[in-house]
Amino acid sequence: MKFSEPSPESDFPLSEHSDKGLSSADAGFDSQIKNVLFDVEIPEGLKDSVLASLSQNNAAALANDYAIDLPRRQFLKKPGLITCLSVCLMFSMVLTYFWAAQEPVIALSEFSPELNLDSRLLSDFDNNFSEQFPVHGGWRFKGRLVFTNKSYGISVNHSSPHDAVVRFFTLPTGRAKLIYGALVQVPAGRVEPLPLHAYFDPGNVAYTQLKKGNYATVKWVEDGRVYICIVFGGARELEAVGRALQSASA
Amino acid sequence: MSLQNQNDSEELTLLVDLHYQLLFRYAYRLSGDRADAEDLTQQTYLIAQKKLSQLRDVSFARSWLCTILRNLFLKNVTQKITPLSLSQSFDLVSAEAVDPELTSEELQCALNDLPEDFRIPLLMFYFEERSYKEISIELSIPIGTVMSRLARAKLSLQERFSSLSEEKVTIHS
Repeated sequence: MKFSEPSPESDFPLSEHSDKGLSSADAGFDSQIKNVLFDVEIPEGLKDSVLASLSQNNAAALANDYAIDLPRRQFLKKPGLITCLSVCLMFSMVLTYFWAAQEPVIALSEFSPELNLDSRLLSDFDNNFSEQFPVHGGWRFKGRLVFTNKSYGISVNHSSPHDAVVRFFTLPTGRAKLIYGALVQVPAGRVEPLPLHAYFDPGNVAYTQLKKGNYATVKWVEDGRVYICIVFGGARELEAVGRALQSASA
Repeated sequence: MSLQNQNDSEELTLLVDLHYQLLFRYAYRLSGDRADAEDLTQQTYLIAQKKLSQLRDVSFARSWLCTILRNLFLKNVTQKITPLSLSQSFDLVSAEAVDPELTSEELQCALNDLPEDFRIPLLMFYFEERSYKEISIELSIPIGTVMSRLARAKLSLQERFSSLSEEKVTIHS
């Protein structure tokens, strides 16, 4: 006997769990099937064995959790290891601090007469590096050069600490006139590129003409410092400074 | 044991109390083997223990547990189920299943003879008390297919245990 596809409308309601469409004979059989389906003998002790396995599994899970937790506890019981790791962490933090605090490199060309070298507008040098006069060229003897007592700080990028220190000087001339100048110094590590000359050489000069006047600039690197000597004036004034230094060193 | 664990344990014990018999019967009707049914019941509760947090409403526990059990069974079925093609037919009456009396064992024999595609919706209908729509969604088959498979499965059982059971019955899919 072959069966064709049953009509859904007659046999099955779409959403209800019932067999409303079945005939009474079918319904009776349906009920019979249902009864017999559930007529299965339950094994003795099934419930206990299920509960026992659940309990066992729970204990195993707890033990597993403890096993995962155990290495952490053991780790915490090793003070030497923790100290070592702490030191490493501190060291890396210090390195990071110094790396972050490292001064940016400034272009040598930034140190020019265009800087605002007005002592009234400059703050006192913050002494973030030691100020020292050049060894060569009689700067330490000064001679006729008269330096200001105070040194001033220069911040190219208007940031702290100061990038450079400047000290102003005057040179009296025979005609009751003064030549004004400034000696700027920067740690060599903060400047790029470094000047080619290793001493004050008036022949290695750059002249600048600005609205505020003319300037002669000499740059050199010496003893870990980059020096920039800016003389307010032209070749004559620079020559006078050079002569004064030469006579002082002699 | 934490308070949460204790609560879970109590809830699980309650679930075992309420549903272990149903689950065993369902498992037996699915697998046709009492040992397999015991294993399935145990495994169902072990999975339920792990996923208990997913059960938000205890009133859904029956269908939730039945779903776990059914999925377990389907996962464990090793023999590949051959889907029925439209032209395929199968013999509903085996040589030893001529007895028209509807006993539990005979019903199991008849269920074992039913292809999975027919047996699963039928058992879902009775044990999980699922509607056609829910069976359709669970098994990812059209609702019309659910209805036809259920009808054929019931009809085949009816035929088997009716006075006409000795007649060879074939079903077209």
